[in-house]
Amino acid sequence: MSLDKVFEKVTRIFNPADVQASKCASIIKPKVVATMIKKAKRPILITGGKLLEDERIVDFVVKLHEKTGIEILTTGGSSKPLIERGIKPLATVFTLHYITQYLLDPNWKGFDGKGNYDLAVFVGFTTPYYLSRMLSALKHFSKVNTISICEYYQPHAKFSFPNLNEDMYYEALNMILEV
Amino acid sequence: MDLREGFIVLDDMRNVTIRIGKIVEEDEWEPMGPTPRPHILDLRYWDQKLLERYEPFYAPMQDFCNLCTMGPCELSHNKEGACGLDLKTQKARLVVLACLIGASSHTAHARHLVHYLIEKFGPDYPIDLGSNVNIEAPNIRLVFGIRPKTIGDLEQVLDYVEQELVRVLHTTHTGQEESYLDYESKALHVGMLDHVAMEVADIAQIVAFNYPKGDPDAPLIETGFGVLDPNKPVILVIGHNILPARNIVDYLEEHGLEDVVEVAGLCCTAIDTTRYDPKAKIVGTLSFELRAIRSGIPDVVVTDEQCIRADTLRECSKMGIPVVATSEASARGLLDRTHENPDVIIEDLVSGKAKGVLIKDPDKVGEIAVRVALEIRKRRGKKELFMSEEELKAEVQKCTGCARCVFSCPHNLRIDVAMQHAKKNGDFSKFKEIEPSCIACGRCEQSCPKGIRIVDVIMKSSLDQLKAKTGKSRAGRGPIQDVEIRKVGQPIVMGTIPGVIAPIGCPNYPRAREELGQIIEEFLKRRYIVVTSGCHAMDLGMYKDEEGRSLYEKYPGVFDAGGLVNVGSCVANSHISGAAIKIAAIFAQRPLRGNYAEIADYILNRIGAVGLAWGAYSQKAASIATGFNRLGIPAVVGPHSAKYRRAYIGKFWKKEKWWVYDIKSRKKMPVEPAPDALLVCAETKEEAIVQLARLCIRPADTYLGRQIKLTHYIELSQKYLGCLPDDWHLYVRTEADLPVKMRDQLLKILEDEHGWKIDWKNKKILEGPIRPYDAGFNPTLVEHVYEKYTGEKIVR
Repeated sequence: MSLDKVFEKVTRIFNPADVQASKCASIIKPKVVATMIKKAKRPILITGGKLLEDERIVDFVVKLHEKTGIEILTTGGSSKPLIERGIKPLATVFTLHYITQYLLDPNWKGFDGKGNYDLAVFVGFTTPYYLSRMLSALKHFSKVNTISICEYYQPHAKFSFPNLNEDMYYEALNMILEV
Repeated sequence: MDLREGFIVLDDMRNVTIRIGKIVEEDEWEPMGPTPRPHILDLRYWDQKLLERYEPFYAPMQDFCNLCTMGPCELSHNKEGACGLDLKTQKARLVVLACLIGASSHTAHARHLVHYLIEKFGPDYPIDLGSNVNIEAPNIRLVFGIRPKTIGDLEQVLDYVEQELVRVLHTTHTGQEESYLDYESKALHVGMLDHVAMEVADIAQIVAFNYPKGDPDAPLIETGFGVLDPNKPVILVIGHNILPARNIVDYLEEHGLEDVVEVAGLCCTAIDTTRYDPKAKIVGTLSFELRAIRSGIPDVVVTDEQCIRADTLRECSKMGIPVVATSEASARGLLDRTHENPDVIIEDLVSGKAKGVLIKDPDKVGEIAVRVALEIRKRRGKKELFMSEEELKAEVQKCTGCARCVFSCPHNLRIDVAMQHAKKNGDFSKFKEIEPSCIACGRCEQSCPKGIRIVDVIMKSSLDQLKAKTGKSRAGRGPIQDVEIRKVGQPIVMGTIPGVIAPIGCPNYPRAREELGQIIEEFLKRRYIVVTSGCHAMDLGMYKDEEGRSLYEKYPGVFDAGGLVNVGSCVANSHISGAAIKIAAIFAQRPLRGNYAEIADYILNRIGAVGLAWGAYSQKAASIATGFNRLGIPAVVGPHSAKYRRAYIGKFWKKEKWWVYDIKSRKKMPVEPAPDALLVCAETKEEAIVQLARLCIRPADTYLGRQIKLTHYIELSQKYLGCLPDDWHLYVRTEADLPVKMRDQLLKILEDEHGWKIDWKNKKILEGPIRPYDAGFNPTLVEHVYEKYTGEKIVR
């Protein structure tokens, strides 16, 4: 199946039991991810622990930062491979739990003091269930737009990639960079 | 007048009888504090202090409520349901319910033990934990306000706990609280009660069954799947209540069979059995239950209560293993045969006529379990573990690669990839990579359209590494000795022992079990105190170095820098909270009796202890952690614990929330955000390590203590995160707080990046910190504590 077709089909939740009564995430295509980052006033990229074991996601994050200038909050130890590649994350020590708590607060000024973020993009989480809970918190208790570009479909994000096999996943990440 | 229990009939007053029930002979060992036997609202003011700083965070699992017939109500985006409750408050209510389930489990366990022991030994059986443990029950003293002297004294403590649990349960009915903060206060109340109930359970069993009493050199116990001996009759005991397992051990000894029959355990029953009899063995945690049963090694399975799979009877029946259920909490649909002739029961179990029986009297379990194990073993002959090689190959061939197993796996393990690889290449090695992370829950098998025995395939393919899973745990030693507290109290409060790390809880780890050992050894090498219990204590016994030594063999069992202390089973967690309480009592001479808020405030501001529940899954773990939180002890939890729905996370940037009263200067003053969370998830071991070091920092650290804590925090951040931590400067009060080797470098960063003023000639900080360092700094958040020690009234 081509990547385009995959983005059009109904997708499975990473855990079929993670069911909500309210609306699930809309599938987002790579090009639209790039456009949304470009259009957002205060976008932020939040990276997870998978970067410790997946050099290709590290590559993607480095290139996305270079191309779009999107600032990065690293969690799960993902700062280490990024710093080794010359990236200066805005935050390194706060876990995804902390960062979500901060994002939920409309009065938070962000790590640079310029105000809370209007778009949070998540990539590289080894634990979809953990990210799922954080996206659920943001869905119900904040106005922050959320996009998950992890390999599993995340129902509580506002927008999410569908479930993708390994090859398709990296292709989709590359397509974000091509825009 | 010498009072005794009984009846008095007054001659001059017709039809009047006075009944004297319990005689309370409570000597005045300490003046009673402000909150003995606190009810729901009595410590609400303390909870409000915590909740103001550590704002509850909610991550809903569902956005609907279906607890009453007005519903189900769709509550997304914090909408209100038909009863008026919004999503956030509904989640807080569910957290209270989870804590109630957990605390009730420990309380019912404690009640069963105390009831049994009073029947056996009488209510006057003394509570004597040895000459080195004078503060025998710190949680009971602190909350309930008595010094229990006998097992009979524990009944009144349980009466109180049970009453409070019911009162809190009442508040979860439809149409009660409308503030999530009030539900959080109730959750904290339940957590506190849980530690009291756990303490009752553990000190009762320690004194009655002569477990180790704070012995740092408690025996080493054989641990791991590999300790199961397939050549002997094996009785597998599962659960959390020692009573039936104890009877089995006694029966073996009475009949000279202790070297003939093996007793091996899963979960906390395993730990407590080895506290009673060090010859017993620990197979492992809940995640080893299906491994052990499906292996076919056990000859009989005896279940008691809590954390036992709900398909135990079905699974055992498939393997031809009879089950003896022993608890009212998990009767497993079995016929109650407690009062039948044991010979008939044994014949029915051995012949397969009965798949299992319910035996309510623990004192009748030993004979049945042992005789059944001996008979079954004789008849069974030799069997392949899990399945034959042919069956293994045939199972793999059924796989279509649909990946349903992956989506139903709690860890999304790529079982499909391992299956396809084995199917195409005949190479089963990818299953070996999966095995250490597999919790053997069996959800994959439930979703497989081809009915593949996936757990068996994983385990059979990994048989050599399963058999190699052996190690040594130290038997649970129970309480921390007063003399140990006397030695380490000062260095802990000053900060020169950088912290106490407490790995506790269940085995629902995000990745391989070995990661827990890696996290803990990092802190042992750095001479933190590590004190563990329950499933984490067992898994640490299986973590070995290249020479095959487990952590318990490498590090001493003392409560001191670089020591690894196993206190025991779940209920022994009360000794960890108890140790923190005892530091306040012994080192700081703070009165305990009915004085909860003062002691919790003391711990929050001074004692750098942090829990690590890397695989917490149960309601008991939720309740235990919440109890630690009320006592001012934070916990780092694994990523699965986000599913508990609630965390307590402060915001370092909200300066107005970080303040204390300083008893010395008599001022309300700003303070560094330490600790800045009471419950927070980490995703990876790297992240957990850094968070643990970070959350050990406390406002009352001396400059030397802060220097040591910051050194570890910064080193660990550099090692695992690749840089200085973002917030290190928040914890600097004086140049003396800075790590010596990095002082110049850090002063430069403070000047350049944070705008602090530095006197470079003297290398001193002139301006910048949240507050100046004062060696006599004496912080408190509690008004009445401030008033007590200053004699000044605070205008509220």
